[in-house]
Amino acid sequence: MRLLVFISLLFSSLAYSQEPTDTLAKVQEIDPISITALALYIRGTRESVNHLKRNDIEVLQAIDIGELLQKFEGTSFKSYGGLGGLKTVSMRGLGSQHTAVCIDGFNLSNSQTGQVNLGQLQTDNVEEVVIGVGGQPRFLLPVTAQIAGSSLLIETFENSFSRDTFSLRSNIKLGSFGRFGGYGAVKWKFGKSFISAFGNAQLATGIYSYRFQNGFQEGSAVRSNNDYQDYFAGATYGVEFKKTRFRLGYRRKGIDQGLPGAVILYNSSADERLNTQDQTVFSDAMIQLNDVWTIRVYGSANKNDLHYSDPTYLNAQGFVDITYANRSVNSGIVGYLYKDKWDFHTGIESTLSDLHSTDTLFAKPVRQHYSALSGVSYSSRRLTLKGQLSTQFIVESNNNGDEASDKRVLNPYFSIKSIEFGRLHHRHQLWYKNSFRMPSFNELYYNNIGNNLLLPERADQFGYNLSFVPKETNLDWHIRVAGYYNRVRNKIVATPSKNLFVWSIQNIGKVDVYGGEIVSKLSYRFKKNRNRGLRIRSYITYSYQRSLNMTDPDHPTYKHQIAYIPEHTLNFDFAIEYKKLGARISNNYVGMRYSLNENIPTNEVDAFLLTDVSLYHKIEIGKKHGIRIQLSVKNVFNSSYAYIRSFVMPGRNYLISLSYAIN
Amino acid sequence: MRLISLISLIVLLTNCKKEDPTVIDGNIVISNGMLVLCEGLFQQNNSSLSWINNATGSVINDYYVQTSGLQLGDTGNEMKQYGGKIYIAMNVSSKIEVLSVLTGVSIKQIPMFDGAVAKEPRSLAFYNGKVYVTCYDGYVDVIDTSSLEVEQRILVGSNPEGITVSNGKIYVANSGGLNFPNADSTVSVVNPISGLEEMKITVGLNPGDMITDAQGDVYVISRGDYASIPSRMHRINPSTNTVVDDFTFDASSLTLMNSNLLVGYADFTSGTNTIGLFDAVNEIMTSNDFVDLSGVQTLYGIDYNPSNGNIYVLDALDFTTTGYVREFTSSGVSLADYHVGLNPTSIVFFD
Repeated sequence: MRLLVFISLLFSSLAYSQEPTDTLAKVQEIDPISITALALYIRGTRESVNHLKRNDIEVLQAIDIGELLQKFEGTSFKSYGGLGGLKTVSMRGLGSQHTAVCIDGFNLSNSQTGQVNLGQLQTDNVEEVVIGVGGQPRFLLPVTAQIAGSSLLIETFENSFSRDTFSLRSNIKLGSFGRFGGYGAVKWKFGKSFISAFGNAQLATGIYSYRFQNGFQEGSAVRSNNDYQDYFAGATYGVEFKKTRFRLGYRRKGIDQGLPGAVILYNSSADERLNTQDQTVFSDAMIQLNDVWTIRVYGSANKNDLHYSDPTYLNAQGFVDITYANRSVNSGIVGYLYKDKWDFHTGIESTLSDLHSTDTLFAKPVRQHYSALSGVSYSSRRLTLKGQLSTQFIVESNNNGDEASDKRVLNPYFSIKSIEFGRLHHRHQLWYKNSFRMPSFNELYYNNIGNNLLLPERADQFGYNLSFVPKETNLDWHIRVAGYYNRVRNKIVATPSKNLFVWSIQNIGKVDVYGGEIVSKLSYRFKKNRNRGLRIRSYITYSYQRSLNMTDPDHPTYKHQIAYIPEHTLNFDFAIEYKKLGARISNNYVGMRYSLNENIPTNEVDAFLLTDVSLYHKIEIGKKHGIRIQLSVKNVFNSSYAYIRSFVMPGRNYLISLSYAIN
Repeated sequence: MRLISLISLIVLLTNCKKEDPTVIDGNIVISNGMLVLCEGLFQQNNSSLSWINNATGSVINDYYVQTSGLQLGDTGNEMKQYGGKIYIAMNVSSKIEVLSVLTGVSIKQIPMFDGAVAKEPRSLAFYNGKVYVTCYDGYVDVIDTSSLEVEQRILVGSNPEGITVSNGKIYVANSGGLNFPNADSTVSVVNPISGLEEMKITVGLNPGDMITDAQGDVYVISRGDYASIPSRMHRINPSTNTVVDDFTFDASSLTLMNSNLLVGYADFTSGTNTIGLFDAVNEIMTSNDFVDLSGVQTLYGIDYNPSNGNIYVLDALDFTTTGYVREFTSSGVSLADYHVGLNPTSIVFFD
């Protein structure tokens, strides 16, 4: 407490600011039916989703979206390093490729790897992050996001419609490991139109010392070849009429980074580099056709260029230098009809993608992916029934070698929900979803390793949620309990074949996943006025997960826990705010995992507890200007930890940020 | 306060480590057993040594950690004994680990770096008080067995793998594996006195394992392209340094058993493994399927113990599950199985 008092003394002379406008929150507060034409958010099934808003995102100071997602229940987070390192999230034991990622309602995909590197998605411009498991919260999303195993939705500042004529977001950050970054975004509204632009740049030396366990001894070393520099930029134009809303935008990013690789005992040499250039144009139109029909037409085109180099590779040239260009064009139309107790949604989508590489051995695949869905739901006051059927058709060709066969898939989804009103307002939901993921270009075609005979990996999810909201004055409390059973068949697994350095990809896995989750989100105000008195907030999620290898009863790893899935994960966040000051302690416990599918002591990766503390002060100048200063200490207890064996994470580190916002 | 107690509880749980590991006294002379090098998996830092006690059949895995207190490192490729020392080529950790043959305890770790670049040692041969190590950067390093220092680097072909000695010369298989599909096809002949490569002999695509038989004949395997070009054995006459035999049977590894060679072959496409018995005097395969490998999933190495006449088959299972040493009589009859570490690759025998 003394620290908090000290901080408040430092800034007591400054004025207080209002909370930054949360456009999304405003939209959501409006009666959903009256703005049917204008919102993506229609009759959302909030109890089956989880979300983090701008305020939380700011306080958590996650360096990217990947780090943020650890906060959600049911996620197994994998990180290969800090800034810019590969980060993926597996939802309820399904591989990361089962999760569709959407920014502002546009698909983000990478057909080369089949997954989005969440370490390359920034958080500065993010207003809200939503995870959808067991049904989509928003119907006018792209078809592929609606039918994927789960979805990750990101809403940004620059692509959302606002009521303010001018708004601004900016910050500068200074942190450990030579980290320095700045972000600025503006949005003007004139008449029915808006224009926004943003830019963001960051650099870091990435040099950090770390401790690691070597046998019975603890060693320490310095992480090298971990430098990182990036920029993000973009602009959007939007226009809004009475029954139509249109957006056109462009964004790009460039990332140049050293790849520190695994920590190899007795060998610290690392000099590989990766350069990523990514560009996207996107556009959509939402049109309310009549009293019952609303449609959204969307399209986007993306080009992702990777340039990998290893200047000391031991081949005849003495180096490796390869570029990959992955392009995709996505377009679709989704529609939504609402009448009395019935609603109906439908959509079609197509994606064309290809891959070119300077590696002459690599395939030159072209993929056409078509999908369609239709669903109907019936809602009475207490009961909602929903059914959905989707179909996908994938045609593949390869201009340099054998191609994968065409694929046709049909996937059903059902959900039944009941709502009990009363003092303990609660809801039940029981649902089933069938989905699949396509093998990526790398899995199908990578030199010697790829296997063009791979089948899609299939998943069945059965889920039950119970959520309730105890009603009391000054208390806002949401509790959710969930249980699930998932089955994965034809799991795509990489296994070493000819020798340890030559792997091949096979459809050999069967996995059964059982789990449970508890979430409690609580906020309490000691005074009625929301920003004056003492407020406390807590956010707790606990996930239990058994992810069992059911492939072969005769194998030594039969019924063993799948590698890198912890049985227990716990998040415990506690925030206290008084007037314009705040402090938040954030704890993330990840239980013991195994680095390989064989559950033996030598494969154990130690459990860890990560504690971050943030202190912040908001300053208000007039009604519209907000300044915020924040100090974060990450990994307060300086614990030595790794998500992935041999990828040691940094110890205690600091970040100071100063942000300024208008509206 | 409840918050603080919850946090301290979690800290307590996190720090609650496994029970104290047993530490083996490094002064105990070891005998009547086998030390098994288990390669581990790339980037997992989990190479290990297993000690098998012949009298009791008991196995101590993680023998290296228990004697030295440290981890062995990443991807131990080969382990061999020479004189009073055991040498281990640690490929990804890029070092040579030296153990005492009396106690099995670490004596020295020789870092193998050229400036900042890892040399990636692969295989070992011995001659005249020196250790000859193939290094993937295209050199053979010469290590003195008393000073345990690298004395010399001898330039050979690209990505050398197997190495053997015959007739006062060092033979090195240049795989060129990192130039795949344009792999190398040659064996370098090195003069240990001048420290220079004298010539290159063309043998076949992607040379790997090498061995010298009791008569001094040099055998090498060209592993082909793992597709249309098969993996084959060739014989080099060390007097003329020419290839005198190109055999037509499948072969991927070579082990000396008295006057015979045990020719291992693992077909990863069909999943079948065979060990053939090759008469190295008459240069003829006498049995194509000498050892019953029906219980072996992945043939990853073969060793022969001349003291008891037994054959040891190293089974890597699926490469991600801890493997087995499977013991057979000299006529190929199964005797025992020992559960060892991940990807067992070589054995040193203790009488």
